[in-house]
Amino acid sequence: MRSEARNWEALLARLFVDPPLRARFRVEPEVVGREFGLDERAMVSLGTIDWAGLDLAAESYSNKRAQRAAS
Amino acid sequence: MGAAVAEPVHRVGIGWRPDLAAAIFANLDRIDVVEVIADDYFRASRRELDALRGLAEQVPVMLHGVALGLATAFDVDTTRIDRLARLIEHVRPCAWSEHLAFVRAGETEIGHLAMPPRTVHTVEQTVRNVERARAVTGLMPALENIATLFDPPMSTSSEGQWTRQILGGCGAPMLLDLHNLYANAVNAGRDPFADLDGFPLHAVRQVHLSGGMWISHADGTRRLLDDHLHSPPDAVFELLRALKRKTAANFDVILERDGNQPGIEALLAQLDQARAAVRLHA
Repeated sequence: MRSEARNWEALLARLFVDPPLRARFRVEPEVVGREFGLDERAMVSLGTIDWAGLDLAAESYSNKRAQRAAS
Repeated sequence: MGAAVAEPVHRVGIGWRPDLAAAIFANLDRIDVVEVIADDYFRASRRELDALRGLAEQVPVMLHGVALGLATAFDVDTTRIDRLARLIEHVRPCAWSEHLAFVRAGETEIGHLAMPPRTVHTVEQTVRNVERARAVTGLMPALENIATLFDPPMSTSSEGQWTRQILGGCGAPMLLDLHNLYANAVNAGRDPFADLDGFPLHAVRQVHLSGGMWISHADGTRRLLDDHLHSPPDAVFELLRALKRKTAANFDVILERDGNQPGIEALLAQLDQARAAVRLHA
């Protein structure tokens, strides 16, 4: 469903920019997933999350934002 | 005797950066084309826009967008397309391009390029967004594959398949970033040359070359970060040679370098290296 795809994008965007949410997501991914409207099928995919990649991507985006703010 | 077959044309150039401006002007005899970041000019003065137009009258200029966010399940922001359309109207570039990425969702701005889940939904909405961008600007953008340190969950297709579906749906040409392809492949433990075959190589009209560095997570995981601050590794030039062998299409090659500049002679040497790679029978 298109709304499901939007929910995922909304969650990913927040995970990239919100360290406390990312930390909570790591501890209770299904709770956070439900808060963003993910369905049961999406919950299954939470088991395959690349946590290291998520952290590194978030750090990279944070650095980009900081560089842009400084320029 | 058969008719002569025209040899593909490959212009080789560099990304326009303010700290390279003087050196680029001084070496236009060795630079076929220049790529300018469109977003840098959205708030430019009339004088700056006229200077960019002047550059475009001296050397072919391509505009490169970095924040439209076309690849998403959301509608693209039409005010951003309008802004780009005004710039295109003023500069009259030979082409423009954007990334297959999302950069925001709702009120949340990521601040950089992120890969959305590769699903039928993002294919369909991306095609709609690209068609809207083409309608407003009057030019179909070339679409670029991005580097990602994080493979999005819920993806149902490979990056190559997803790209084929989008380009097939809207008829856009491809801007193939070979370092992005390389980084995504090695970070996932795949063969980059096998990944190359998965992309719609017949649609490639532009190529990006860049470099990056290895970074580490606290858990010991290492990833190759595409940072545009390092020279393209040998593997990127090998991929360029492989691309040349696999398609007879005309495509331009752009070297991207955002900082940590090695000096113009080193950059020109990399352009020469790219020219050699796309030379027929190389």
